[in-house]
This record gives sequence, C-alpha cells and structure tokens, in this order.
Amino acid sequence: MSSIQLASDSESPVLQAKNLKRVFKSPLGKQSLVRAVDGVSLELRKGETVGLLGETGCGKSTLAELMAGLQDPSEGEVVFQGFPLNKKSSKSQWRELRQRVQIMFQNPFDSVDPRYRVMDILTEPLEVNGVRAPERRDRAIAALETMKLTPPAEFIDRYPHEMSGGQLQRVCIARALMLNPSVLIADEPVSMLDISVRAGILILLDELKNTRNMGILHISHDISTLVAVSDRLLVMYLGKIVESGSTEVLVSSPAHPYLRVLLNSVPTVHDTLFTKGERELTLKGDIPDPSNIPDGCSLWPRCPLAVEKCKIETPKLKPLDQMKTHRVACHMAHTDDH
Amino acid sequence: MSILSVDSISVEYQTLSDAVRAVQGVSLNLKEAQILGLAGESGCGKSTLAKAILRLLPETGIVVSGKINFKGKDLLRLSTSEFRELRWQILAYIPQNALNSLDPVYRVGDQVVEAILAHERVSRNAALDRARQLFSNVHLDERSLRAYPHQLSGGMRQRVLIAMAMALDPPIVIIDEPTTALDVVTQAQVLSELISMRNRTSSGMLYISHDLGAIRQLCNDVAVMYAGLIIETGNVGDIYGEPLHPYTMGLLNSVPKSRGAKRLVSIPGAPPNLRSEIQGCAFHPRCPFRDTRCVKETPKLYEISQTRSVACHYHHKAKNFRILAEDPNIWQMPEPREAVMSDFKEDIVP
Amino acid sequence: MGSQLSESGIVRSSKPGGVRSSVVRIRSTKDFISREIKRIRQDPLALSGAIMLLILVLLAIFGPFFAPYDPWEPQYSETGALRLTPPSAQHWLGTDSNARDILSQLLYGSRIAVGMSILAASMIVFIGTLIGLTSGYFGGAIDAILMRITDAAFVIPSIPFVAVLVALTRPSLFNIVFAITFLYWRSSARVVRGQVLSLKERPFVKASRASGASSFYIIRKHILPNVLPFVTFYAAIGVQGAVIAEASVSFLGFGDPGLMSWGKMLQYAFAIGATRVAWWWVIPPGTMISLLVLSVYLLRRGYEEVVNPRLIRGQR
Repeated sequence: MSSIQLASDSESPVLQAKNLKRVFKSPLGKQSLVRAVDGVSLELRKGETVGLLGETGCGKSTLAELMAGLQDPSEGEVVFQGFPLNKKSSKSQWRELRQRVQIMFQNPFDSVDPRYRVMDILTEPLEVNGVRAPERRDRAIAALETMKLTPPAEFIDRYPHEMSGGQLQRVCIARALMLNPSVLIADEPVSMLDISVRAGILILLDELKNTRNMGILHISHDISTLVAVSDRLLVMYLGKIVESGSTEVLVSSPAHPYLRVLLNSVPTVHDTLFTKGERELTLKGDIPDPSNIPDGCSLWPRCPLAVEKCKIETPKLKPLDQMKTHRVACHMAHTDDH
Repeated sequence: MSILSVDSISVEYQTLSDAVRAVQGVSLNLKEAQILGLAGESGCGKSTLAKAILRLLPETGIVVSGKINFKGKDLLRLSTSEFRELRWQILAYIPQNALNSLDPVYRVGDQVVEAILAHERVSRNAALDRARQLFSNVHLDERSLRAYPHQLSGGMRQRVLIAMAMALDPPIVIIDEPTTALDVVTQAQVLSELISMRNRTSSGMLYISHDLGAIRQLCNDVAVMYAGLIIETGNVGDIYGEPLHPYTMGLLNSVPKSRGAKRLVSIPGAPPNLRSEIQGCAFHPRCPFRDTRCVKETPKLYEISQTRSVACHYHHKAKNFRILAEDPNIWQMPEPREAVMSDFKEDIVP
Repeated sequence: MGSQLSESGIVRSSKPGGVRSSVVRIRSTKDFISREIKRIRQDPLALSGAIMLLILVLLAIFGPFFAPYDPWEPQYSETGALRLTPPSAQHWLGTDSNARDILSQLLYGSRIAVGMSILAASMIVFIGTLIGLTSGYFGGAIDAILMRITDAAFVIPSIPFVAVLVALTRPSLFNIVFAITFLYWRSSARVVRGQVLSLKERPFVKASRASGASSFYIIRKHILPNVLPFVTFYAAIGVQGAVIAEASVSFLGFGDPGLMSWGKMLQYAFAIGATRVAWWWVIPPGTMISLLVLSVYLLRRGYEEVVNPRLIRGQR
C-alpha cells in the first residue's frame, strides 16, 4: 500500500539529497533571487550522525525542511531509502516521507503549541495517524520514561511554560520519535539551552540513534558540539556545501578557508578538541546578504587566499584523497600544500 | 588598584505574589587594567548584577542591600541626575543587542560625537577626530562614520558600540554578552577587538557571558555565579585548569573535550528556585560529593588566597573531586554516595 | 546564538516593566472565558464598558416587555392627541409629533440596535475569519483573488455604499446588515490573514505538518485558537461601525419603515423639524446610540493589548 518501496540494503543511505536547490523570489519584487539551497548533495545512513556546520542565513534550516519534506525543492531530489522525491512527486508521496523523517527545532518553546499540555503535544502525531486514545496515553507515558522525564505522571499534564528548556526539548524529541522515524533532523537542538543541560540532550540523541538505528542529521553553528557528536561533517556556506568528510579528517586537516578560519578563531574551553594552527588566517568583512551572493566562489570577497579565478569560476566539490571521502570546493585547496 | 568595589549586593525582583532573589550578597572587586569575567548560566544573576551596577534594573528590580563603591562614592546612593552625569564618563556599557542601542535615524558617527560633546568641553572637530580614532581602533573604516545603523552589519554595529563605550576613556566598562546575535566568525572578530582594547587601555572591564570559551580567551580573572551567588573566583588559568567548586568542574566537563558524546558530563537537575530561601549549599541537590554538612550549612566564600576563593566546604578535596568529576556516571547519582565520601577520607592522589 | 532559556523555570522578562506573575496564554475554552472575565474585571474602563453593554443587552431582550405603551400607537388624553408633550409622569420621555410614547420607542428600538449589531458582528467575525484563514493558510491563487476582493472592499466608503445599496434594493433590516457586513469584514480578514501567515511559519505548526496532520486539523487545533483574540477585537470594531451605519442609514431615510429604530427616531425628528423644540425626542436616541458604541469601544480597548503586542508590558 505504501507508494515508497523500502530498500532492504542497510549499507545504502537511508536519506539522500541530490543536487537540491531551493530558490526564493526576493520579497522586494526585484529580479534578485535568494538561492537558499544551491545544489546540495548529501548522504545519511542509519546509525550515523552527520553534522552540518553552518551559520544562520547559510540555508541550513531550509535544507532541513527540504529533507523533512516540509518544502518542495525548486530542483533536485530527496531520496528516501532509494525512492526519489522531487517537485513532481505527488503530495501523498511527500506525506509518507514526512512520517519517516522527523525534525526538531532550536527553540523548544516555539516548537510546541503553548496552549496544549505535554500529553496532547506528544499524542498529536499518533492522533493524526489514527491511533486510538487509550493506546496514545500509554505511548506518551512510555516516551516520557525513555526521555528520563520521570515520574511521567508529573510531566504529562504540564503546560510548556511550566517546564524548563531542557525538559521541553526532551518532549520535542519524544514527539519526533512517536512515529518511529528512520531519520531525525535536529536543527540546532541545543543552541538555546544552558551549557550544563546540553550534554544531557546530546547523550540522549546518541543513545537513541543507536537503540533505534536511526540516522541523525545534526545541524549547528557550534563546531565543538559537532566535533563531539558527528561521524561525518559537512560545512555549508551560502547555500552550498564547501567541504565534507569524516570529522577526524576535517578537523585535523581542514582544506577550505572558511573551515580553517573557523577552527582557528572560535574560542574553545578545552584545547583537546582540535588543534588550532594558523592564527593569521582571517576572513574579512561579514556574511553577505543571501540575495546578493557574489559570482564565482561565494567566499571570494572575504577570503585571504582568493585569486582571479575565484571571482569567475564557482569551485565544485572535488575529492582531495584517493578514497574520495574528503571533498572540498576550493580552487586553492587542490593546488595548495598546507 | 581597585576601581570598582561591589560590596554584598543583593537584588530582588518583586512581583505581586513573591520575590525572586536574583542576586544574594555578592561582592567583587574590579581592578585597573583587569578583565573580570562573570561566568554562569541563565538565571544565575550575572545580568542582574550588571544592571544593578548600571542602575538599569526594571521597575520590579530592587537592590535590597549592599554598596557599589567607585572612588569612595556609593553609586547606588547618588541621585539620578548625579549618576547620569557620571555614567558615561566612568561606567561604559556595551550591551547585548546592538540594534536596540543605536538610534536608527542618526548616523553612527554623529552619535559618537554627540556622546563625546555631551560630557566633555571640546570642539566639534576635536570630537570628530576622536571618533575617527576610536573607529580606527576597532578597525572600522572612516566611511562608516557616515553610515546609518541599518546600513552596517551586525558585527560592525557591535564595533560601533565598543567605540562609543570607549569614547570618554572610561575607567570601567561593563560588557554584557556582546556576541549573541552574531555569526561565529564575526563573534571571533569582535572578541579580538575586545582583546586589543584590553591591551590598549587601562580600563577595568567586567565581561558577562555564558560562553566559557570567550571568557577563557578574553579575561584575566573569572568569577563563577550560580543561583545568585558567586561560588568561585580565580584567574583564568586556575579556574579552567584546576577548578575548586564541583559546579565549575561539572560545567567544564559538560563542554566537549574530545570526540564522542559518551564522555560528556551532564549535571542532572536544575538550579534552585530563587523564590524560596535556599537551605545549605545552593548546589547541593545536584552535587555528587555532597554530605549532610552541605545540606544544612551554607558555605561562605572561603578565601584560599589573594586571588582565589570558593564557596564549598570540601574545597580541600578538590583534587580528588576533579578526577571523579570527569566520569559522567558520578553525576548521575541522585543520592550522596557514602562510598564516594569514604573513598577519600584520605587523599588518594599522591 | 540567540537567547538562552532559563533552566530554573522562572519565566522572567528582560524588558522594563518587569515580571508579570500571570502567564498570558490561552489554555482551553473554559480557561479562556474565565481569563477574559478576569481581564475585564481588572481594567476599570473595560469593566464599565462591559457593564454598560450588559445593561443594553438586557434592555434589548426585556425592554419591550416593560414598555408602557405601544410605540406605534398615538396617545390620547381627554383633550386630544398628545403631540410633542415634554416628559411627564405618564410619559417619562414625552411624546413625539405623532403622539407616540418616546420611551416605548426607545425600548423597542434597542432590540433593533443591539440585535442587529450582534448579528452584524457575528457575520463579520465569521466571514472575516473564514476569508483570512483560507487566504493566509492556502496562499497562492486563492490568496491573490481574495485579497484583491478585500482591496476593492477597502476602497468603498462605508455609509454611502450602504445607503446606495439599500436604496437600490428594498430598504429592509436584512439588507442593511448585509451591506454592513460586506464592508466590515475587510479589516478582520486582513488582520487574520496576517496572523495566519506568521503562525504558519512557527515551528510548532511545522512540527504538526511533519507528523502528517492535514491542513484542516492544523487550522482547527493550532491556527484558529491563536487568531480568535484578533477576531473578537475586530468584531467589536464591526459592532461599532454597524451601529453607526444603521443609525446613519435610518437617519438618512433609507431605513426599514416597518421597524422602530433609534436612527429612525432621529430621522423623523429631523424631518419634522422638531429638533430645537423637542429635546426629549432627540436626546434619548442619540444618547443611546452613543452609549452602545461607547460600551463596545471600552470593551475593545481591553483587547488592544492582545492585538498590539507593543502595548504589552513585561511579557516573555
């Protein structure tokens, strides 16, 4: 009955993006377009956490919604367990995707309707999918236990404003898992939480990933968090992926200037997470307006390594190594020895 | 030399039904050419303390006791007009949200010039020259002087605020989470501006943040706040390298040190409700090393040395605690483990 | 990035104005009603408005039973028809040029005024919400069409339109109400649409969609409850407009001839030229119209906080 055939091969990615593009018309009605997502391809497998490093405005949230099926791509495909979905796919096909790929957001207080209790928030996905009332309550209670919000009876009838940010974010995770998704897209899940609370959520996500064999796409601007939780890393800048590879490699030998500058300049609490090298390497200026992205490599106005070629030709994501696991989109990276 | 001395300040927010004890008996000393970081998570009282010093508390915020001394004068006892005169000259403020602090209808250069002219008898040209110099100090182009706030990016606006704060060469600068709304690379840039400012002037700065990395990079000394109290002070090396308070230890261990989420420490529970009187040590419900003394007796801020103090009865066991605190499992214990306590009745670590 | 949420669970504001211990959120219908009542009780102006309105409503329902005379019947005494008599013991508000008791007219007229306002307000609420919701949530071509119609409605000047419409068709109460509704839904539709547009982008709506909820479900559970405060606000404005429109239309002579309304009373008084002579004829209906509008206005002011967040102090 399902229109999405499930691929049985567990080695193949559970969720993929193939040259995804999402273009918005500028609200000012000018000719300019906002290329929020500009040709992004990525792969996510069950049991792994892929980290997406990006600032606000780089298109990461749009990418998250595209992959969760909440927005239609302008071009390109989202492939779920081998089954491709694009702008021509039917609404019901996209709806099926939505149930198996769940998403959670940055602000827990905005991720729930403040007028409803935890019980209703948790059971909404079940109600919408035809689960009967008694079973819904049981599953809600079980979910609270899994989230270590115990005793469940104490939390089930609370309103969101009666809970702390960390607790509410756990409720959001629980809600996302109600439909047993294969993929969880976490868009800045801990950025708004206190430092001592973050660890709890990160550990929880890690455990859930393993026990449920899910794939997690963890989106964040905080490199420290991503280094701690991700198996693989993707770096996003102004709608494009500029570097990708395993976390180890990217952090020990970063290739793209953006990542290199980031690793050097970001203030860290511990020196053990990654080594900082070139202090002199900095970026000039600020992130440009997304509706006014420069031609060629979008970083060139700020990049310390930019040459003429960078202004004209957009670099493609090319592998740096034989195994093709470390890719970078930079003209200088392939010629440079660093 | 101490330029600002906060003496046992307590601040409460009073509502119709109850009072929230946001700051309880906090004392600290800010010296010349010192950057003191005030670290803590949300709700610990750091922003409230800053606002109390600047007299920017909302209607419901009341300083119930304590003094804030600058050159012998208690700033809290000054009249509003006396304080206003003094404020920009001695007490500069770099707030969180740059957009709200700059007047959108005036060019930023003009705003700096006006600020200078309001407090000093100099010619307009002299003020303009100084504005130019200030802007160049924060690496802002002269052209930016003529820009309106909305024409500048977030990072540039923040730098304008820094320039404005330093316009009158104030002895005290209070900086409140200046990088929250910025992207990571710009945050780092603003931080380096602050560092060069630190190196250039002899002002004392109070840097308030929940960003432990930023504090480590910028500050000389740190005071850690929890539940309205200062629970540990020391210089940056000591606090980050050899913390004495279990909370500080837990906090530092909850920040990723290495790959792998499993090594992360998560402090269970939540800070205490500030509406009610706190019994014993404020941190004890969440502390893996607590015992009955901690439950009953509120620890005072023990002075270990000139620069070091900590509010913990068992600070002499800190070395052992530090080792244990790295294990995430220790932190999951809801009850105080008698075994843990007996483990180090003697010092284990040689 | 962004602000930090407090873990201690204290909902504290960082804006001047300080801490409000009550949380400004609607929880359920029962809570909604009791909260609204409490809100009204706290604001003295809104309270007086509410009381006034209550009196007028009671007047409208029960008034006619207490009317001493038939409002259409000319009154006679031994000397003859009691034309234009000032207030007296038998006729508290005197009589008009046709010897009809003014107090009775006033009481019967209240039914029209109040009843029609409520009817108009309900229709404005209903249609405005429907259009705003549909336009805002579904967007696209539907939105474009509906908004162009709304724009057109904005251009039309209210009273002249009502007058013209009524003049072209039959002057009946129904037509008047219809004409008024046709004009006044424009504001509420606009506002509801704006609110819906912003709600659509909130993460909790996206989360609902991610669970597979249908549009109807989301509108019912999440969007509609959040636009209700706006809708009631604009309903109040609609009532004010409706009352004035009806009175004006009747005053201009286009009113329903079979009904006794306050506007009608004024129109008649003016037509006869009795305004300078018979103050007891002119002042009561004028006052009543003003009171009705005033009471609704005062109540409405209490809602301005909800609708215009900048007026809210110290909310998280």
